Amino acid sequence: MFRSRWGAVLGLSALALLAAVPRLVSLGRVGFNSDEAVYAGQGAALLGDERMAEFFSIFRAHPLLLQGMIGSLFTVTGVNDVAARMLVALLFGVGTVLVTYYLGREAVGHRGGAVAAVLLAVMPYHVLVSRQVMLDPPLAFFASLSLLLAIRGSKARNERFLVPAVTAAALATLSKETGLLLFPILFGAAVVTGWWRVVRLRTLIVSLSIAVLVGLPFLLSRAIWSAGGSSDYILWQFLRPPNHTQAYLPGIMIQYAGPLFIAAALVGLGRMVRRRSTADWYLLAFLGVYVTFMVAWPTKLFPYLMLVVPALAVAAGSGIVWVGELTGRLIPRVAPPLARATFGIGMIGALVSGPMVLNTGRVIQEGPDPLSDRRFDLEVHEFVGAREAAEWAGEHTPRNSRFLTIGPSLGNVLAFYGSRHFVALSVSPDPARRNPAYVPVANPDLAIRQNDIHYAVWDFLSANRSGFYSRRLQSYAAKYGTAVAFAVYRDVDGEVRAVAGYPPASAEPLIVVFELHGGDPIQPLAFPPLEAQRDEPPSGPAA
Amino acid sequence: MRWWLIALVLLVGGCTAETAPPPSNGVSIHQVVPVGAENISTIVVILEQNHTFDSYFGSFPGADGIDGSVTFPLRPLGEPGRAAPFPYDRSDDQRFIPAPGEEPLSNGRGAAIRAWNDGAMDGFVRAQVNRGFNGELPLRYWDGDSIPGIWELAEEYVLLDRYFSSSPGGSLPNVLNLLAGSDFGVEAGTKSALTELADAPPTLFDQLEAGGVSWGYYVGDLDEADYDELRTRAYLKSDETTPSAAYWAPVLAIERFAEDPYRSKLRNQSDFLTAAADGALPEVSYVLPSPTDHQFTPADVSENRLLSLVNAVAKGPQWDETLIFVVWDDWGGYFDHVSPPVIRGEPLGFRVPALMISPWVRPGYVSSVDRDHSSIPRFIADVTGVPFYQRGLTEDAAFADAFIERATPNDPAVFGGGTLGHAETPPREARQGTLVLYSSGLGLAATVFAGWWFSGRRRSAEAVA
Repeated sequence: MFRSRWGAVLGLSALALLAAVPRLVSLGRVGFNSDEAVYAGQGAALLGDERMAEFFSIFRAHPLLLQGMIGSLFTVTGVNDVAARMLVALLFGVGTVLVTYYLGREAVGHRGGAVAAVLLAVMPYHVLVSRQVMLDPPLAFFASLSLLLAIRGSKARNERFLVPAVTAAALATLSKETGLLLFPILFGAAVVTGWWRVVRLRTLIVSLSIAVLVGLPFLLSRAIWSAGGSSDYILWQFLRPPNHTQAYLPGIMIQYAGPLFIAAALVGLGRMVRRRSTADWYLLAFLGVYVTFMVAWPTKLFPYLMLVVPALAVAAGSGIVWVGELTGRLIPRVAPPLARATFGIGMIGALVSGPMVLNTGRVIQEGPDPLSDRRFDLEVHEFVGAREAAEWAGEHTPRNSRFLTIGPSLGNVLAFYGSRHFVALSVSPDPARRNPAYVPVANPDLAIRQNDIHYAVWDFLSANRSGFYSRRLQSYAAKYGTAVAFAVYRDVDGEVRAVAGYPPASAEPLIVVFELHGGDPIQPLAFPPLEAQRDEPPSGPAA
Repeated sequence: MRWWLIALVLLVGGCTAETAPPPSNGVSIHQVVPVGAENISTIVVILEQNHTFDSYFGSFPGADGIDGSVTFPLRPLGEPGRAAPFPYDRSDDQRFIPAPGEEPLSNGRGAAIRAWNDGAMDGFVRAQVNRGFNGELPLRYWDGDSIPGIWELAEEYVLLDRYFSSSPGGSLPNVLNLLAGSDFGVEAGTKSALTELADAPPTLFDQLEAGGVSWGYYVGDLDEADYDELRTRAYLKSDETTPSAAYWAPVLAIERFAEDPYRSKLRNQSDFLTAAADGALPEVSYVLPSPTDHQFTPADVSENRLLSLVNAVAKGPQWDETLIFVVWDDWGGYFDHVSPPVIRGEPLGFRVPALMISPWVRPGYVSSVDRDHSSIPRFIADVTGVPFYQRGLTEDAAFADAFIERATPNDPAVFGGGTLGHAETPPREARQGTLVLYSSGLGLAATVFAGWWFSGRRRSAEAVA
């Protein structure tokens, strides 16, 4: 594709620009969601922010590579959500698009690589997740980089690629522990493709030494300072109940990448299975292992697919190139074959990516909700109004006041932006059924009476997730409430507004903060019941 | 009664013009508002009940309290030796709970004079036993374990350890001092005393009303029906039970308070909570909580209510301009080791717990200036600028030492709880250690990588050469 150095620079720059624009536009429109708040808070705590350290333990489920980077950034910019998102979007979002180009080039040539990279650059799913401070973008970036280096090493029969490939895999693991599966994938594919025959013991030892040096801090720090906490997390990870059906992740792909992308990827995978080139072996092994893992692992969360979408994009690129070339052959022979093939690929590529571009525009403007009819993917929902409510809490509530929330999602945002503690109704008192990071509240009624809880906060996202706990929270607000202290709502014109009091009757409430009094109940607080104005959520305890 | 004249003048004044009533003695008493207090424009007085200072704060660090040397003679029980005060244990309640309708201890004037014993302060056991009450209970005390939230308030704000109840008698004369600066000659809470209060002389609220200062009197959980019942004064008949609220909030026994403009300012505590949340507290609020801190209301229940009232102000928008007094009305029959001053030939009542809570007071300060209930209405009059004609009993009504000059108010805090805890977060050493481990690991890995990379290039170069 790039026939000169300048051509390569121009092409890659255009690709980077195409990827960067949707990942950077309006990054600060809505504040952090729950997971972003946790990772950014951990990063700040790790780098010495005592205020964040009070709320965010650095010893939660995951290693701390991204958090450390964010924390380092904060030492320059101050705690800043937009800066953190920019770091992720540019370094790992755009970076993965560029790596995908090279990955596709190794697998199916220049055109396939370019198509794969363009697809990833405009894919609503990838744009959406790489705009957020999540661990999956760096995991996907380092995993793709590791694959790329291993494929190049295998193809060139050059052992020198092993060390950087293993280093990238180690960094992927230090981003998120699921990166550990890369090691059997790399070594398994190296055996199948015969690369292992050219690898000397010295190189292998250097590779593994680097992997150990990268991974050891995670294990050592937990062993020294949080041995008990680590066992709690292991217990939680293995015993936590399934949160989605098996149809969840395929459904995400259909909604946020599009059925045509899926079709193209399936065609491409078929081609890869038939072809079984060196690159194909790696990509198939990678997809096979991780897809199996995601099917088998009971917990399924929205961003998990970040890891596999670059490889799927390469497969789709392969499929589009093949179908495009076939289409090109149908064009009358008024142009040279290369031009006809390029035209065909462009046509098919546009067909697949066109809806993606439109949907990406919607995702940037409105967040993920308009593309989904599902109600469980809270991990990447835009938490409209949460930042504003938390900042209000930080400025207008006593420093040691505690909030009762439906679930911990809003609580994390309250802690990050407002420096306020919380307890969540949906946090189970059973250690095997709750995230160890959260304090359960076995008897909220008693805690309110004892002046241990001072505000109750209803939010539309958690209410969507659990109507049961939404109603319970409102029952406490009615019993012990003295006033609606603050609310964020969407008015009839779609504008999001904040008010010190109850939102207008015609508005859609998004966040409502009730002030509670301690002691025995006195006089019920009358307020209209709050219902999330979306699909009726399933009742019962949230996971 | 010589007060009828004042009442008449007040009535005429209230009806004819926005002028204050003429003075009883011709002189309005004012002190200089102390530095720090000039920021106060909302004053809340919360009235609790039946404890001496020592029974609640006797073991409070830095206060004039008790130590192991304070004991009380048991002779009246026919037992030798002396008994030491003992800490509260909820399981003891069963031993001390009186029969229904009876009080656990006497808090009357006679018992108080006997306990005082001309300043010897050794008659607390005798005073109760002679009246047929339990002789152990007067020596019970509470501490930071049994009333942690109230102690936290004292630790955070100002505790007054020489604040005396104004009268050795029970609630009524003391509360009258708190809201009028005088007991109007009332020595005990009786039906006849309540009857005489019907046309009571001017109270602080009369002065506030005449001066155009907003005020509210929030009485427990009284509802409209309760107010109507109190207004008819049917309880004054000999065969009717007198509602406790009439003694604890005697404005309810004053006839003019049953009519507007006064009546509309008598509300219940839920109105206080709502007003605090809305930033609509009047300039002066008196609050009688429900449940109050009366004997055998479980300490945590009344404590939770008290803290909820304080927290409501802390959470509300008026915190920066507010001063809260929390005072206990009378001794309740419990011991105290400090003999009260004798004023005009009469001892004041025993010390009672008193707190000042505000963003403008000296944090964690124990004030040891002599004050009594009458100091508070005088202070309020000073701050609000209304005339006030009662001289009070103790000298100081400025509370100057309790305030501190500062540029900005202290941040509000809420109190109570402590049962939920927080998620554990690692200490600074763990965070620093983790950062060092990550940095070292990545740094070493980068060093190994660089070493390997450059050695490979050197070998390649040598091979080419």
